[in-house]
Amino acid sequence: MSIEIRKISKSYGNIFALDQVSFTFEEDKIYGLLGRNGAGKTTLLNIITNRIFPDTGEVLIDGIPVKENDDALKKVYMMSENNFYPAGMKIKEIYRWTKEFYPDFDTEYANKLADMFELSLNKTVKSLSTGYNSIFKIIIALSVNTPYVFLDEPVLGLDANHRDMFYRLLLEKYSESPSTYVLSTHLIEEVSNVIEHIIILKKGKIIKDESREDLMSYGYAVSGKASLVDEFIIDKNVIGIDSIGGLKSAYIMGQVPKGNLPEGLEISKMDLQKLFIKLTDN
Amino acid sequence: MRVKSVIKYQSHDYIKAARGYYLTFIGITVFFGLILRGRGTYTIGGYEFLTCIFLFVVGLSSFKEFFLMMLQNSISRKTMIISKLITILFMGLILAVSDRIIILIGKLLSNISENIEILGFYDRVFKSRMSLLNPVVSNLEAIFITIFTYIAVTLVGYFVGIIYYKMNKTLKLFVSIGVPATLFVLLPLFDSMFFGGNLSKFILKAIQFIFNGKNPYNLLLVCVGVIAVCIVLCWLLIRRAVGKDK
Repeated sequence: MSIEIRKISKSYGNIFALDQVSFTFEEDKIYGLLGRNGAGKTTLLNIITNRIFPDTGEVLIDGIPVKENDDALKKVYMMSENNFYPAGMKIKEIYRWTKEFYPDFDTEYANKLADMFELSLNKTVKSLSTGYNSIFKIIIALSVNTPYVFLDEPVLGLDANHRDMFYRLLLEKYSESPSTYVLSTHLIEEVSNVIEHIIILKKGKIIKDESREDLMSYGYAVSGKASLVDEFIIDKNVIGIDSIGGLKSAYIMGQVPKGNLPEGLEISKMDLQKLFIKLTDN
Repeated sequence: MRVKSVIKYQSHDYIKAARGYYLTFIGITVFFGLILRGRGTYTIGGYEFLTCIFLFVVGLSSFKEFFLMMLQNSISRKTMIISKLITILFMGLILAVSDRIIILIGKLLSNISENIEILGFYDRVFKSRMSLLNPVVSNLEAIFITIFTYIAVTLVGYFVGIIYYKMNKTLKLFVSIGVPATLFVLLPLFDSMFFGGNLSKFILKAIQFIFNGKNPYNLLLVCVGVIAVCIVLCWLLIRRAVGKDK
């Protein structure tokens, strides 16, 4: 049970959106699909869900080629940034039709989530704000019960409370009935505690496909008094520094040095966002 | 299973539109019937033409929203086109039967009151043929021909809708101005300048062949041809169509 992406390439004119991309989404994991703007994340998700076609390569869902195949396609749901639902349709009608196309859609759970997010089911898509446009699609994604769910920029326009609620609900849902969730987002700090596997795209190529733990072990953070930190990082590969008053945190690539640390310094886990910036920087 | 769901979704939209169309038609007919009571006759000649215009518009406007909704729900393009054809077939059948019933009611009403007169297109064009046939047979034949006409008209609208979806804004503007300009300005101009009016004569002959008043099966033949061509062209366009931003 997996989604296998085999040598996918896609170009728009002279621009290579995806270049020989190959990897696998395994079952029942939460993935983070990360990359800078124009890295090819949305193009990849659109190809996986048969919305656009690759120039070369293929996508297999549980061993079945996805291209124009309803048996494979019914196993995926994609919440996209662009709205493909009819603008004049009411949310309750959208939920009714989703149930028609995805028989495992849990209407009762969707209604419960709508209550929690204070989403009126009688509103039409076009009358919703950007945040609520994301919310009604998030609710479908969490209620659809397909083996593979893709969320492209799921928290677009959501306030901090709703974002927090979404991450909590996602983890709750995942622990109760695991599926494969793929989150494509720019908000790396926020998703870093939710995702367990990270795929990083850079200019249409996969540059990292590793578990979060492995990726975080690429480096470490050291913090303490600024003078002590400055002394400690002299011969290290520093990828970022945060300073507050007389305190400093430095993010360093490489293994934590063996032996005793100078007194007053503390070692902690690498910051995912700092690592991401380092890895995707030109 | 998915074909059934897609047909259900489309039929819901079509039925909603058809309900609006019939209610409007009945409303207008009753309104003019009452206004003209004792002062004249409210006549609709070639009633099916109205339905043809309605179906063309339905076909034209039914692609984009439907296509995107289907992509959102992970429906393959193959399932989309199969379901679309089945829905159009059923709609053609239902509307052809409904229209014939309305025409028969119209005939009945015109016998009772002189205010309202609803004449079918088939009844007018193939008047001489109808007088030769048994009324049941002639009405069944009218329904049969009308079904194919409706399917053809809807498919032409649908085909144009897909073409428009695939075009960019500049091309849409170019076609919207270019096609009527070619048909109504350039073609007659070229015809008189280079063909000595033979092109117009040919078009007239073609129309006479289709609506010759004696043989409705010429019309049927043309409709079948249009349906076949539209199915092939629609499939060729849909199979590579991709989701675009609204």
